[in-house]
Amino acid sequence: MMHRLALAYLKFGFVLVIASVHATDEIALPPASENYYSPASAYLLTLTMIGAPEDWAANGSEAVFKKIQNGQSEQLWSQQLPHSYRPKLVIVSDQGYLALFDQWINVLGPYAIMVFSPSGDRLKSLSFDDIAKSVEASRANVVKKAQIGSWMESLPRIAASSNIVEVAVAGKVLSIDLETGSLSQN
Amino acid sequence: MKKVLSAVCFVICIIPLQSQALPLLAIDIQPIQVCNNSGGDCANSSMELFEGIGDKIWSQADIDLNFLSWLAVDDSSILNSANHGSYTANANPSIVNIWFIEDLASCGGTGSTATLFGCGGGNKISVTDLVFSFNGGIGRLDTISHEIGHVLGLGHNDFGAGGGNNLMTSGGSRTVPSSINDINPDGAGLSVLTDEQIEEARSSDVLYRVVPAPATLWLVFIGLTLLRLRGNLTSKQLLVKQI
Repeated sequence: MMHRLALAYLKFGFVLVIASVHATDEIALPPASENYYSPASAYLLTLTMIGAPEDWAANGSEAVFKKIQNGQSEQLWSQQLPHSYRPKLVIVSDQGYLALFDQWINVLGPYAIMVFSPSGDRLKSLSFDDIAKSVEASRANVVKKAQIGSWMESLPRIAASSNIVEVAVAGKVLSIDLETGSLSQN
Repeated sequence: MKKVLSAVCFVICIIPLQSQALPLLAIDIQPIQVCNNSGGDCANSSMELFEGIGDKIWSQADIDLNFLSWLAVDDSSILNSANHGSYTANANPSIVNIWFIEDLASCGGTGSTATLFGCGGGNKISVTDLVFSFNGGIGRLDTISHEIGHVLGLGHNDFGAGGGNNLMTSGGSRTVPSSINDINPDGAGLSVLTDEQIEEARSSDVLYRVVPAPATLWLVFIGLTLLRLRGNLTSKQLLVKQI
């Protein structure tokens, strides 16, 4: 009898916990710092959030880019990024090019793709609308088919020793040439 | 006398049914601005409710958001880092209190390590100032509507939620509109409500049915009577219209 009561109590408590926890609107905080290597670990990008966690949304993040050779790292550039919190995804090529995807927050904003040269120059900045146009899809269709964030249907990929990144968008494959920042559709 | 009764019946029974697919329902929401003990440092200082956004989102379910006049509460103890449980529901169960505070510790259970924008449930909502600074100051336009969805019985993964374009999908996976022009059925088609969500939300006891204002009814009645007196509308036509 006591066991039954205890079980019923636990079940009731579980239901209460589920009911009380699910009614939120929140986004997880990004890691305070995160490293991203190129496929052969020739380059390293470190993203570090600026300030205390409660200020991360306003302060954003700093990117530090390093070249790695014979186990030694040499800083090539660093700069503060304009993304809210920080970029969501990062690709680093073995030639020192860098592509940043989306903002940490899921909005259809101006920083869908940002491409940097090995010296830290911003080669290209593409908005969500630019992406939709490049795949010739309506904005609603791009969002509807997105699996990662607001517009990507797949994770962006780069082949070893390549400067071409591919990502699926609205049923098509978008290629990004990191040397020029140009987009093409496969 | 019969003709007059027929006209009244026509106005009351037929017109509301013809005006829209579903009867219009409404929810009364009481906004409460929390300030410190001396009445300063108030949350939601611009008293923003994103009412146009909310009305467009909930018009998908033929639900009207009726915000009551603002109340102010001076209490430093609930302005910062309190739990959603610290905020009271309205004594009237058909009114939903929406508390605007600076920040929240959690919606219940253990403290949150995430960026917390709002909580909803138990006929009350709490909304933090992070909603208004979100996205470079544009604001997290759909949080209030999302929490109203919780109050109306919708969860993050039920009744068809879960897609990035759905209003009730959890905060980390939902695409948040930056403009009213991207809310379904326009633009990027965000903040969608599925048929299942609409059916569930409309079954909530918090909602009430909106009846046309008496003044409107009288105007229509007078118009029909005048037509009848001028002979433009015969009793037969009136009956046909009723049928």
